[in-house]
Amino acid sequence: MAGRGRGRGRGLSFNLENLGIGRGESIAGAKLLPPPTFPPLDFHPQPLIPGDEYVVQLKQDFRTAMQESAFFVRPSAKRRDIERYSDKYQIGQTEDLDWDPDWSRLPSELNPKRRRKVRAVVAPKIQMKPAKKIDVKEISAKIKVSSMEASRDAKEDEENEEEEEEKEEEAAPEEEVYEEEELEDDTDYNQTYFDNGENYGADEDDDLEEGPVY
Amino acid sequence: MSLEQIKLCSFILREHFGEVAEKIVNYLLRKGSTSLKPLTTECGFTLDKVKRCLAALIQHGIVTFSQHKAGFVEYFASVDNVLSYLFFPQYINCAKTLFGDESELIIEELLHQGQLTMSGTINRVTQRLAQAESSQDVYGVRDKFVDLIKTQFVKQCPLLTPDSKARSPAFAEDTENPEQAFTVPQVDLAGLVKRKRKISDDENEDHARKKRKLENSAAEKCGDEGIYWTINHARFQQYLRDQAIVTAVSRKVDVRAGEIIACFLRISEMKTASESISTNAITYNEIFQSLPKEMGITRQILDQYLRIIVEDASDFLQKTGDSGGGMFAINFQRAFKHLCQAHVQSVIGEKYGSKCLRVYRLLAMKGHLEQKQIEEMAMIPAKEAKEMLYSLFDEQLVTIKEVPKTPDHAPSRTFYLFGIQLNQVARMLLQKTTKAMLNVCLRRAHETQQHRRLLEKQQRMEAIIASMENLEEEQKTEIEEMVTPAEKAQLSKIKKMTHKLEQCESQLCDTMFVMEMYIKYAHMK
Repeated sequence: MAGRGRGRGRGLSFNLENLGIGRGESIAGAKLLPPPTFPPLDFHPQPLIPGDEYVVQLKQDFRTAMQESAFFVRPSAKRRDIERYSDKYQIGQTEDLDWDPDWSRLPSELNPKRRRKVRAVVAPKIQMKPAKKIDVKEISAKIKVSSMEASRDAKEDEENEEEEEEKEEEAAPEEEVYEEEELEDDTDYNQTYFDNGENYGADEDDDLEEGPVY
Repeated sequence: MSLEQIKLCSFILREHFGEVAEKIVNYLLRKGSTSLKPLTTECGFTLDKVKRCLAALIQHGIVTFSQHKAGFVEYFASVDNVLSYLFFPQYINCAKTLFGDESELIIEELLHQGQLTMSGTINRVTQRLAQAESSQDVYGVRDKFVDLIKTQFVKQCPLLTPDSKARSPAFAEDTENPEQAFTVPQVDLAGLVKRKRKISDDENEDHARKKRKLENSAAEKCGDEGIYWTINHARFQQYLRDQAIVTAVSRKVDVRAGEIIACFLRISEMKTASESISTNAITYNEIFQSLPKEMGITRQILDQYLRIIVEDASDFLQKTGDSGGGMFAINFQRAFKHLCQAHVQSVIGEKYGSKCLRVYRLLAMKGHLEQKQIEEMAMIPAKEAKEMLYSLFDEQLVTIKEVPKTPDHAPSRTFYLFGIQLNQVARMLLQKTTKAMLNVCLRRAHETQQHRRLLEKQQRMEAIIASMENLEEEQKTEIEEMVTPAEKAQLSKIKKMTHKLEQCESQLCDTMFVMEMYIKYAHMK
């Protein structure tokens, strides 16, 4: 690396001619300012080709037709400080036009007229059994018999209980599944009918518009 | 999907569908897809507005939806469908030139409504015709509609699949049978005819509501409910593509040559798949037989014309064989490459001057050249040629390719070859055109916004004059004097300016079309 220090003061370390800059030509200095926003044009543009007037007319017509159609949704006007008489005559306050699309082709959540599915409220079925008359003799007889049998069936009962437990365990998963379904239903309900409260204020505004109720 | 495109998109939406739609689509484009709830919270409009707007956008094919696995409906937006709004005036014009006024109205109605049933369209068109006091009846309009279906300018929207449980309707995508979209349904128009008579009987204002009810009931009777029709963009684009080639040929050779090419494209339309690079080969005899007799072209003249077009440097028509008196085909890839090249060259010529253009064309002709060679071959003083070349390089119209002699890439032992990558240049130009389009649109909107009060005043005046019939001349001039001469001068100035800007828009649209077509075909193999 002997050549390192010697290059100093001689300008660049490579031959400028390789870059296409000849001897004696000066290199442009660094640009310190951003380019102007509206630089002067070197060449003036040609006039437009006299085109099809009809297409221009169609363009204007199409635009106005779309703006007057029901598809042009205006944002609800911002309420200023106070309500003025002249507000009524301001352009842009016009309500959106009626439009009844084929809702079967659109997602049902977009339909403003869709009613909530009313969930059927089913009264619980409770069958009331007529109260029986109690016969004291019969009961005392039964107790006697059962106390006799109880000592004999103790072992069998234990086995039975075990079996029952097993049966319950088998039944349990079904219940869980059922619960899951219910849960799903619940979240579903949340997704569809979740109200973040945004409309709450808007509704109130609407009421105000119609004036106070006397 | 570039930034300029998205900006242009939001402008178009604001102008055609209002502010709400603009924000919704912007949000959708940014997020890719979302469900309804974030849309309402993010865009800051009421739920009703958002729902309504989404429904309108879906009907116009700008927003699509699908059911997510988790159960909610998600919405998507597409840039291309919005940008096609720039071409709608041309679509309408094209329907008018091809099929006449009734078809123009049909296409216009379909574009206004997004999608419509056949009976609904016919109903609207006949009403508008009745207003214009045209003598066309319901069946005449029906025939025009059928023509449009048969030529595939209008296509059927996919039908609903019977699946009532889902939250979003599903559509049947019939990929096996694409012809399904162009079958004409049986429509019973008796109800429409009857109703029309009824309307002409009562012109009373009070009956307007009744009429609407009747309208609905009539529409139900026609037997085509649920079958919706919409514009076939691909077909219109194809027509515009053919038209671009025809005008190019008629400018380059002459009008009759253009007509021959138009005729050629008409025959090939039926034989060629819509998405292929070139048309199928067509024999000389076929072209001759299908030429309209009025043109009075003999075999000899046709032969000469074809030879001229084939031998022309612009490469529009190729001779592919000698059987059948000669086989000819049009290669769209090559044709649009040429058209694109011509556009780029005219841009360079107008923007950087003819000397730059000479350097550029030299490169386009020779492929790759070294700086020294360019200086010699362009026949411009070396210093000037270098400046031109560097300014082109600065604008990225010209690229450099390094070819090192040794593997160390040392500058002294490397060839620097200048060349043109047309694909990149076309993309850049498309971007610039999009930006120019946006600027022009914004300027126009700004002008009308600034003079809104004046324009509204003029509108009001015109409305007063129109509403009061049998005005005396004196009164009329009195009303007209509401607008002062100074305002009149201002108004005519605004009108002139907006007209110029609109014209500019439609011409920029043409440039965009050529660039898009070139890019599309350049990628096909």
